[in-house]
Amino acid sequence: MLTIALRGIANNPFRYVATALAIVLGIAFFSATSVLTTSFEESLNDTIAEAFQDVDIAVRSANTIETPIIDIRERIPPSVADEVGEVDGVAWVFPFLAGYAQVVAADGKTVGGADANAQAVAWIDDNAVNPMTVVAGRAPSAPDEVVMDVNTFDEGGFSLGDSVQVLPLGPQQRFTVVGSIDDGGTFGGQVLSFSFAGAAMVFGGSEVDQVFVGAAAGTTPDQLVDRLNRELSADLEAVTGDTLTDEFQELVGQFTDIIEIALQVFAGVALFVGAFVIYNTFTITVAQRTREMALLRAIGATGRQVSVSVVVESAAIGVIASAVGAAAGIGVGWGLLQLLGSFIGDLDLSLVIPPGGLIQGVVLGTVITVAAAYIPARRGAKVDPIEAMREAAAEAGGPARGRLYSGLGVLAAGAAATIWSSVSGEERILYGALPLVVIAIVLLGPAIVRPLSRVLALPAVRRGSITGELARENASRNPKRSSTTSLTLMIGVALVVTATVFAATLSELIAGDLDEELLADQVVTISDAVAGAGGGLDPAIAAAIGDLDGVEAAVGTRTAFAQIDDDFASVTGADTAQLAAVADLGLVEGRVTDLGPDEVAVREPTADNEGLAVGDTVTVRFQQGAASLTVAGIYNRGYQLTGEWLVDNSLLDASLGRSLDTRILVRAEGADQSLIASIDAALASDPTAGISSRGDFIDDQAGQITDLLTLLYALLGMSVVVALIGIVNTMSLSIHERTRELGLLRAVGMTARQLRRTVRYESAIIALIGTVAGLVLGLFFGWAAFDALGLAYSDFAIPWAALLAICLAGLVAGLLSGVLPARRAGRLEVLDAIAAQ
Amino acid sequence: MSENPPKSQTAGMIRPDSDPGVAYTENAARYYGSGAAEVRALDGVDVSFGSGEFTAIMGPSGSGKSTLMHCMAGLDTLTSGNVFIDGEDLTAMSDRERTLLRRDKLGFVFQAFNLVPTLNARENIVLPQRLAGRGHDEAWLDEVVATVGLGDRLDHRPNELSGGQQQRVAVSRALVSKPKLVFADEPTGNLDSTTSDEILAFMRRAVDDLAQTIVMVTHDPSAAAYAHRVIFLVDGKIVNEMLDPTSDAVLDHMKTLGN
Repeated sequence: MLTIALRGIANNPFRYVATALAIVLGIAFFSATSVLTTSFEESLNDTIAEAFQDVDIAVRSANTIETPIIDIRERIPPSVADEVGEVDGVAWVFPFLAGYAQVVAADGKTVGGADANAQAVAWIDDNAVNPMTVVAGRAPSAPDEVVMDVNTFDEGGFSLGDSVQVLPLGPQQRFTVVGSIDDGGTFGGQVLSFSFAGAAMVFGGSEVDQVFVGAAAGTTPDQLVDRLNRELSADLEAVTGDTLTDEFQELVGQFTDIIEIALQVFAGVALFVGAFVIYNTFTITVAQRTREMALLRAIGATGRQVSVSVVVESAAIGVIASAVGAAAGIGVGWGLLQLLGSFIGDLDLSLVIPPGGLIQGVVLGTVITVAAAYIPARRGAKVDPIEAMREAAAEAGGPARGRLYSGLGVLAAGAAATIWSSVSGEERILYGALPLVVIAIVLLGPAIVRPLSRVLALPAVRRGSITGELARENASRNPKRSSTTSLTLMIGVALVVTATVFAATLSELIAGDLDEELLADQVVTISDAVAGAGGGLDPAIAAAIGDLDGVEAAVGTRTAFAQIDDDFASVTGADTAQLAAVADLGLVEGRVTDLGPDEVAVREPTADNEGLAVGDTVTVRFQQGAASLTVAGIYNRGYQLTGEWLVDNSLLDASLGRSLDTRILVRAEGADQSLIASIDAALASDPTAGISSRGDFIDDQAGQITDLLTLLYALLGMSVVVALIGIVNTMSLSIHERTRELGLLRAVGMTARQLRRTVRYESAIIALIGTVAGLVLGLFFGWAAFDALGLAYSDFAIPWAALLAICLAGLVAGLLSGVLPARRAGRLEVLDAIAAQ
Repeated sequence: MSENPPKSQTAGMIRPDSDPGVAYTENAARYYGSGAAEVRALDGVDVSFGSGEFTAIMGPSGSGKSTLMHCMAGLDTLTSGNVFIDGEDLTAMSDRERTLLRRDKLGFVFQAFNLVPTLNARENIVLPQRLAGRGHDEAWLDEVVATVGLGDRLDHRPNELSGGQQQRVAVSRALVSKPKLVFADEPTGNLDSTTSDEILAFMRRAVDDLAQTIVMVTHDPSAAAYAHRVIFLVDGKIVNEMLDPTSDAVLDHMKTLGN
């Protein structure tokens, strides 16, 4: 029987190409994910270990601000270095401080574009400790000297001795380029380094992140850590360099784990779709081989032997295809790694092949293939020997009544749960309804194939096209097969539609919010990369714009992470004396203007959650400095512009030393070209700043969500491709099965062209069924996701244009999927076809 | 009609008069394979089918009778020689031209799998005209359908019809477009004798009353007895011809061919 199973593959490999391809693609995706994240994590871990290898101990603040992503440690005064230096057994001490700075090239622009990463650190004057080394020139020593990584140095066309501007400082403040450095791949992107005094000037303060300590000979790091922790104040803590390395590596691990899981979810969807394709292929081939199997049964094979032969066949395909997929995954992973490297810039990323991940992929692919082929294999076992004598050998069609009724029942339950949840406002019920609706669609699939293909073929049939009519009948002649084939496409389409609908809704919400909140006519912005690096615009810029004739108000806003009453908070700072001119925050109670440095305003939902009222006090702790604040006012708008907590810039300046504006809201009604030009001129001192009109700013903010969609589409694209391969496959197998019928059609006068058109139509109908089902399901999912946000139903946005585009894409994809099978059908030799078994 | 003795048994003498017929071949040859494996399915056949004639082609298995039909119908191509249908030379035609010729001028009845399973009887009958993008003669359709006795089964799909009914639909399809020539390949090969007789009698009536031309391949002497003329093929050559055949005479003659 084993021989028969393997001969089966060898004799008819074409039949399994699609099955194998579905697995190859899914496993390649899966393995690439593993290769990518493992390589990324290990490369980063190596860099981290190298960076800290000579640091025996780090002394840092014991207090952290716990953001949802990482813990930010408070800064400590530089005097801690002196204190530490006096402790017994300390050989050396270096204060470490890092922050945002960026060099301006001779052309007045930053290097690497607006989205480039940029960071700066204080130079450590010890070659053993400093992970960075000088490539050309020398290390910075005077406060007005700067060195930069070699890539920035070369790309920006700098020379030693150049006098340059360093952001966020203005162009008047000059720095001399004294060297280029190799940053050891620690940070990626642009890296600047200054002397300690220089860094303090650029960052606007000399508070340090941590102090690196070396243990003297005869003292182990562990002993010294214990001693330091005993002798230093309770606000400080000492940890070994190894702990520091472990912490960083753990952080990288968490980050890559999240990425890996996220990517594997998409790979999983593609594999799930692939499982459907395999199930369908084996169902069809088992049906087509009924006679062959019946013959085996007739000559004495047991049912078990027959089904085992199918399982062996599927296992062989699974192993081979998964192995190919895993191998391809290494290549794809390498490609993605290069892509990632080019995004981050200057990171030392080397390919690491994770044997575990690849073995997982091969096992997973094989298990999925065998599992998907199991039901068809069981069916093969039930073949009656008498079938060998029968003429027709095709899968029985017709939707089963029981399936129809149970499908309707499940659908009714899902609908009831949906209505119940929307009436009761209990979202958890809706989550229960989601799987019910999916199951209902799967059960009802065969029943909706016929009516749906009738509707979808209508445009062709209306024209009196016999090919359209034949395509419609062919699409619905075996409803189970057509529905399984189209449901594979439905999965991908449903997810695409869900994301599209949800993004459109969020996008409209943002635009709607901003339209209400924003009174400014012009908005100055910086790139996300600069903001993410803690950068921003010198507050002097906002002041300069505010002084222009015709400008009523120019209000800089900025963000700081803080801990308020022990909870993480993102606090917005603004010039509250002028804020009312540029933003309508929707005052509920108290006052949101003219906030003092000891006052805070809270957005209503947060105030309600925390039980805060005007006059209450909260304690706030920033990365630097803490204060007790009185709630001065409560507002209900401002979600987009000021967030949940609003303070005056004076508080942030007092706490953080220097804080930078991430936006400047400008009120200048009826601003003409010359005023815009003047604003532009005021921005010339910082090339990272850009100005947009109110409308453009709103569109841009609302559009950011839709940008994310592109990535999501790319990730879901794989499962759509697998589904289309499934359509090609089903069509090819169906055509093979209908050889005689096609021969008859050709004999009585159907031209090859008409035949090809019929096949393409049929393929398009099946693809459209999947697209339409996916559209309906996706709208439902999108609505459920929206409902979970607890927003007003009127805010639900349906992006009609995008949905229409998805339908058209489904139609085109279907027609294209039909091309190969159609060509095959068109090449059919009429005589052979008529004589075919 | 079984009493009529054969009028002629002259080998190679097909149509002595000058009428070339609706369809004829000139030295038609069809070889398969090459070298030692070469099989001469047709080995120089000259045959002509006159208008309004019902001809049966008989011969032992492998005699080339199906090949002759396939080549004349444009389903297969000759290795050498020519086939003419309604004055047109098939050998010079492209696949598409032959397809259109089949659609417009020929009718087909096969032994089995005659019908498209997704179409009902009526749709199957008018399929060639639909493929041509033409309408059909409704009165003529009614007449054909009434004659074959299909009246109330027109809305049924093939799997709801008996074998005999399916063949009636196939014959109706072949006739309804009033083709120049109908080719029937063992049309009653899968049917019981009563049903066979009904179908064959109808085919004969179509020739006698409606002036249809039919060429039928068969190995069944009693089916051949419905024809005006029987042509005997052996090893790709025409070896004999029999006019107004009876089943006994055909059977006797088949024995002499050493089947």
